[in-house]
Amino acid sequence: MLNDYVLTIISNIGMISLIALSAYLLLVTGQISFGQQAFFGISAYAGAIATTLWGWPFWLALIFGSGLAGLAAGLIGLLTLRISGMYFSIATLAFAEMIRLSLFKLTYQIEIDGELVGPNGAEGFGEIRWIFDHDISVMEYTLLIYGVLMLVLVGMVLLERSRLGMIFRMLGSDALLTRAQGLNPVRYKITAAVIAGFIAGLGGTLYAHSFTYIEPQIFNVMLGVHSLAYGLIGGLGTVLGPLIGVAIDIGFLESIRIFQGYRMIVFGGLVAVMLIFMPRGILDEARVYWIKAVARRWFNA
Amino acid sequence: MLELRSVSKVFGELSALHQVDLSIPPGRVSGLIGPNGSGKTTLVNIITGIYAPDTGKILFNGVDITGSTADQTTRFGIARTFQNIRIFSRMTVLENVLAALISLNDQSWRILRGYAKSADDPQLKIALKALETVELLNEAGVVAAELPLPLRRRLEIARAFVRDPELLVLDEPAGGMTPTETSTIASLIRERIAPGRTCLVIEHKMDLISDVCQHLCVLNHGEKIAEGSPGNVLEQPQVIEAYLGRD
Repeated sequence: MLNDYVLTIISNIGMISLIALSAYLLLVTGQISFGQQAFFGISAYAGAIATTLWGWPFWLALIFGSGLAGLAAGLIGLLTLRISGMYFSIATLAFAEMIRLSLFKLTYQIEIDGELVGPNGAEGFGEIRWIFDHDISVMEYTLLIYGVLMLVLVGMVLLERSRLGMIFRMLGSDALLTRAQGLNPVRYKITAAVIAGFIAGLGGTLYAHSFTYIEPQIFNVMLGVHSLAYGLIGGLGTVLGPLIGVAIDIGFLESIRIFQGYRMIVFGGLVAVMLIFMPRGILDEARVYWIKAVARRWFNA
Repeated sequence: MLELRSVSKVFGELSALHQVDLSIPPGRVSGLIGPNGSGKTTLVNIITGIYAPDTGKILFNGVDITGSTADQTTRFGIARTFQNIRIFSRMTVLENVLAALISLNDQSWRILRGYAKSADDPQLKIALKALETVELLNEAGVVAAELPLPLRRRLEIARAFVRDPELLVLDEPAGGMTPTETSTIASLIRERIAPGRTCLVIEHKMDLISDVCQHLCVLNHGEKIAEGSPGNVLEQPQVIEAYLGRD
C-alpha cells in the first residue's frame, strides 16, 4: 500500500506538473516566462481565501482562483506585448516578484470560531482546513489532483491538435512568418498567456489546500525557473514533455536519498547538459514525429 | 492591381526609397531588379506591410492599404516568400502549407477544431494540390528543416500561393541556387505558378527575370530608373550603368 510520504511525492508531481504545463504552453509559443509562479501564487491565495474565509465550495474556489490567475496573466500579457526574447523574460520575472512582494503586504483576516484566520503578510496564511473539514484523505486528494491534471492534459492534447494549437506552434517557430500568414500574433499571445495563467492557477489552489499553509516565499523565482526547466528537459514536442521533466526532478532527484543535499546541483547540471545536447528536450518535435511515424507503421502492419 | 505613389522610406540617415512610383499590372509577371542596396527588399517589405512608408500611398485594387500590417496585407490578398528563406522548420512540409490556410478560419469557433484530419477536408485537398504543383507531394510528411535549399524554396512558393492570392510576391526565388536549379525554378514559375496570376518577382539573376517576366522595373539607390518590357529596359544605358558601372 502507498504510504503518505509516497502519496505526498505523487501529489506534488501532479500539482507541479500544472505549473510546468503552464510554462510549457508559453515555451511552445516562443515565450520564455520566468513568472508563472506568480499565477500559481495568486490562485493559491485567492482559492484558499474563497474556501477558508468565504466558505465557498472547493470547485468554485478552484475556478475562481484559476480565473483570477488567468486574468492577471492576460493583463501582464497585454503590458508585455511589445517586448520579446530576453526582455520579455525579464519583464515576467519583474512582474512575478512584484506580485510576490505584494503578498508580503497582504493582510486580510476574519474571525472564525474565535480565531483570526486569513493571509497575514510575511506570516503567511495557515488554517486552510478544507481537506480536514471535509475529511478528505491524502489518497482522495491525490486522486482529485490527478483528476484535474487529466482534464488539463486532455484539454491540451485537443488544443495541440486544433488550429489554435497549430498557430501557437507557428508563433513559437517564427512570429513574423505567422503574421505573414494573415494572423495577428497579439491576439494569440494573449490567448496563450490567459490559458497558461489559468493552468498555473489550477495548480496553485490545489497546492494551498494540500499543504494547508502558504506564504509568499513559496512563490519565488526558483519555482518559475523549475517550471521552465521541466519543459526544456522533458521536451517541447508534446504535452507529455513537461511531465517527464517533473517526474525526473521530483519523482527521482527529490525522492532518492542519495541526491539529498545535492538535488539542485544535479538538477542544474542536468538542465545545462540538456540545453547543450538536446536544446528542445528529450521529446522534441523531431522525435515526436519519428515516434508517430513508427507507431503509424506498426499500426498499419 | 497594385500602385505605389511617391513612396519614400528613410532608415536613420539612409534614404532607402525616394519618391518611388510603381504600377503592377494584373495577370502578368512583373520583375523588380536592381543592384545590392538599391531598395528592392525595402520596397517589398513596404508592399507586404512589414514596414510602413514614411510618405506616399499604396493602392491595392483601388483601396488605400498604406500602413496596413503584414497580417492585414495578407488578408487583402497579397502573399509573399522571403529572400532569406522563412519556413516553420519544426513542422512538416504539409503543415507548413496548411499554416497558410489557417487564417481563413480564425475568426470563428472553428479555430478550436482539429486541422485537416480527414482525407476529405477541403483545406487538406487544397494543400496537397499545392504541394503537387511544386512537386513536393512525396515530401509532405518530412520535417521542413530536413529539406535541401531548392526544396525549401519550393515549399515557400507553395505556402505563398496556396491561398490563391491576388498578388504573389516572390523575393529572390532562386537565391543561393546553382544555374541548373535556377533554370528548374524558372520553369516552375513560368509554367505552373504564373499562368493566370499576378506576380512580382524580385531577383538578381537576369536569365530568370528574362525567362518569366513580361514587365520590369529597375531600382537604383532607392529610386526607380527604368520601367517597361524586359527587352527594352535591359538595353537602357542607365540600367547597364547601374549594373556594370561607368567606363
